Amino acid sequence: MRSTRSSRGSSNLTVSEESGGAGSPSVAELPSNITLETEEGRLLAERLADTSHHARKLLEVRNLSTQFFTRDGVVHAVDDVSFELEYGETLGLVGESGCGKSVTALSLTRLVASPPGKIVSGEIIFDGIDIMKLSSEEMRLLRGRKIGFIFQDPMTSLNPTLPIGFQIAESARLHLGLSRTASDDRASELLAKVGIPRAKERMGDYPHQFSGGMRQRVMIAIALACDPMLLLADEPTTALDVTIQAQILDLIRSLSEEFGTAVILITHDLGIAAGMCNRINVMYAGRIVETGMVDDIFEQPKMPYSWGLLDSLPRMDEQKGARLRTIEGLPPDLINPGAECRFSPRCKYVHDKCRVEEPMLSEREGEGHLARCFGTEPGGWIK
Amino acid sequence: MANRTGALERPAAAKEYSSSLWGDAFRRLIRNRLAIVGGVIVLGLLFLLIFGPLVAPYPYQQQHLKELVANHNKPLGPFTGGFLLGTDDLGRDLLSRMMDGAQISMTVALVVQAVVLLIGLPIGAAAAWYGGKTDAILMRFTDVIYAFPDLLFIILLTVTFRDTFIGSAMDGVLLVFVAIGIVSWVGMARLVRGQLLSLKETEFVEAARAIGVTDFKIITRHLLPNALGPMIVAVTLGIPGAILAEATLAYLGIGAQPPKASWGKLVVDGQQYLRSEPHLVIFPALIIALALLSFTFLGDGLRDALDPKLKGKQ
Amino acid sequence: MIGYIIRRVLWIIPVLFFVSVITFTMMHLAPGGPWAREKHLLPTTVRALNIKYGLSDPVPVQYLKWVGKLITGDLGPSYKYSERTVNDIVGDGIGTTVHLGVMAFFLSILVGIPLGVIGALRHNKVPDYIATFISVIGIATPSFVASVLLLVFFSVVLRWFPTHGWDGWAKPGAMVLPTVALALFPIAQISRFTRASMLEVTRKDYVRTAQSKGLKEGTIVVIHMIRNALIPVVTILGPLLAFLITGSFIIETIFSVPGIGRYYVISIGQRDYGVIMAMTMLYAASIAVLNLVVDVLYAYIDPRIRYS
Repeated sequence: MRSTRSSRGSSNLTVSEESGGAGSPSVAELPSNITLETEEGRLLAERLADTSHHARKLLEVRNLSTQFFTRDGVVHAVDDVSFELEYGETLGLVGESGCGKSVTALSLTRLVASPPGKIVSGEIIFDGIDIMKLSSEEMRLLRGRKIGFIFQDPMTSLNPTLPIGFQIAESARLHLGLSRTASDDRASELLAKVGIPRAKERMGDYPHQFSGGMRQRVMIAIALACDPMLLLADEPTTALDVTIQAQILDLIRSLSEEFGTAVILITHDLGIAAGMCNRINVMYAGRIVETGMVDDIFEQPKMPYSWGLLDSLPRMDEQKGARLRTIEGLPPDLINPGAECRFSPRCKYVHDKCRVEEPMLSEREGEGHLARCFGTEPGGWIK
Repeated sequence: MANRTGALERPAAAKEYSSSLWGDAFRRLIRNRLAIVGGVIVLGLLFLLIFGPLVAPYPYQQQHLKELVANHNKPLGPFTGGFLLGTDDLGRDLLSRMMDGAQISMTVALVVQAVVLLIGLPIGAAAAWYGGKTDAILMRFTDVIYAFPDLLFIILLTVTFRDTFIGSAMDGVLLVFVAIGIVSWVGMARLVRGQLLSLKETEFVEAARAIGVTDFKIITRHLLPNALGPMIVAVTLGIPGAILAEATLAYLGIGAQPPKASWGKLVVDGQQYLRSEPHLVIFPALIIALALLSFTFLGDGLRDALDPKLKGKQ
Repeated sequence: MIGYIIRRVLWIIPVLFFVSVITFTMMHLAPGGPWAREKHLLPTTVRALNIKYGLSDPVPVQYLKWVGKLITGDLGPSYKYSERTVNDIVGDGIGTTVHLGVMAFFLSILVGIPLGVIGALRHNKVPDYIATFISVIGIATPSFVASVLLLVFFSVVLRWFPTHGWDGWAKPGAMVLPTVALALFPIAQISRFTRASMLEVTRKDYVRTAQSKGLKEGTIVVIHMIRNALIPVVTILGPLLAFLITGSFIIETIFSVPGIGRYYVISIGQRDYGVIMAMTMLYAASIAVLNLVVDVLYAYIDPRIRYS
């Protein structure tokens, strides 16, 4: 566990640049035209300048449900999802395409495209602030400042007509009230920190002048510009070369350790999650189906889907020529989820009970290890 | 479960859609109300093209001098004396003249696009298929024509040839078609070339070649049908331009000669009566706008129907 | 990028050459020659006139002499008004025509772009319908129709503006209708294009990135979206500028604006081939240069082209 954030290295990325200490927000940080409409907003204003913890956990998500209202029906993208995140912890959100992991992350910052999407229920408490109660202006202040986002495709996520230095400095200028020179300095330091050589000279370059891996580094710099408490990384390496993937992941890990940033890593690749995360949530069909410490998930997974995911990882010690194992069947239709276990159509261990009733998350061995499966419950039929 | 006739019922949940390209496109088009309205009007104009003289209340060049004199030698207003839209200063029924103008405009539209396809398509296809030097030469050629301002070129052509035989054919209308067509084929050639270039590198072309299908067959049976969509859209959207060009030329006194009643001519004729009998200008203006809009909406609808990605909604 | 510019500049030369050949050829193909419509002239007179105007030389020689003169800026004589050269005529009217064109250009940008942006941002709501409606009208209405209708409504009925009598800034009222009539089509095109481009940009990932940074909506729209949306719009400026030039023929005729456009129309009617040839070249050259400027501008403002 880290100590106070101000005890960082010798770099200039310290709290001292921000005016005002813990407590009152400085004038420079809160644009004067923002009226704090809600109680939560006032709370937020106090927090924005302050960097100490105000709650037990950084993030508490309870019964979050996000739906998309389309012409073909209502898509239950995220269905009654609950989890928690400690300060500085790295959590993995793992699952196949369409399981709801990206939408969960977008919901956390209320970035879900609405219409047709909508957060229909649930609570999100971030650093003690109820996010659902913030006005949209107040939510906007939180974004970038306390929560950073790294998106999947660095080719399209950067604005092609603006120099990257500008794109990094932008949030620092807005949220931290830095002057143009100060924010530019900060940006070039961040650029150096994410490993771009000759950072200062490249501040004025445009995204197309960088390779994919470098652009993702720029994205990381943007996300960390205001020293956020939480970093949401949505498949940060999926669009990159395999050789670059490891570098980017290492970068994320080292930076988050250095600054004490919590990370939610979204990926479909369990191998990546294993290397980075403290805890893992496995998602399927908009639900969390297993959660636990990374070692527990890997050594004693308790949900057939997790087994499938682990199984399908190619292994070095396998026989050459053996087929890759897959999970049979197709992802479920999220428009009319029934009352049964959502994995039952594809599950090798399915029993009648599974087709009728959906299991709840129940405890297994290991700290905070929960799984959603009748079969692996104590007394169940899977040993 | 069987119903009374004994046939099996289908499960209710499955919606059945034909998944062909044209079927999908047609369905999308139907949903676009503007396009439907445009399409209906276009059909109406085509009807006038074919049956115009039959449905017009009077021959368009017939002067009704009696009524004119009775009205102090001034054009009659709408709804008077059996003339639905009134008459012009020579006593000719405006509605009939507008219908004749419809014939001219629609002929221009169709003939010009035919010329455009006849010249543009082969040139574009040849440039794409043969590539290399052929492509370079053809494209330079089109570049140069492209750089020549359209209206200027059309005016030049018509001015040059208006006193010749071609110029007086069909009361001056033929020259207009040819001139507009000569200027307009370039866009189609570029479009066809672009489409075919991207299709040329696909695998099914390689496969066809491997089997030994002749070049010509590959182009006509495999490549062109795939390029058909954008071509249809281009033709439809090119028609307003042709109609506009013809009307503009008529306004400038080039093209259709009296007593032929091109819409542009009607406007210029009616201008002098702007204050007293504005209907002489307003009605032709409205029909021009209507025709242009109809083709534009239809063309837009076709484009959205054939390539929904362009529209930006789901 | 310098290479690109140089290539484009060099390309104008063959284009203008081609235009000059076509123009020259066509004028000489027209039957009758420049004196045909005059009252009947004696053959000796005709011959003398031909010699005076160099028309008895072999055609290729005539062409070379003509091009030679053009390059030095001598636009040649008018065949109708023997005491005036085309240079005189152009000198008289070009200021007016350029004035009208520039004003229409700025009007079309100042109205067209905001209209397109608003239409896209308030997609499928009332402001969008209004913006689309205006642009549809602009496209569907030929400039001569629009001019006539504007005249009817604003001059005759409402009497807000005069029907003619352009005199530059000395008579601001007389400038309104011609400028609006000329700008109508460009406004429609610019707004349609801007709207489509903005809608595309709205769906781009970097907009989501900007939102995730917590930027204000205004900042996102202006700094992130409009910049990107306007780049494709520049590509239609070329044809629009050409439109402003050729459109001036009609507008100047209807509103009696004393510019060279109106004169061009008159000389077409009078078959004054000297004027027609020279002015056609002038127009073609202007359009070629303007297109070049637009292309260079496009290459400059898109960083992906500028730095490649």
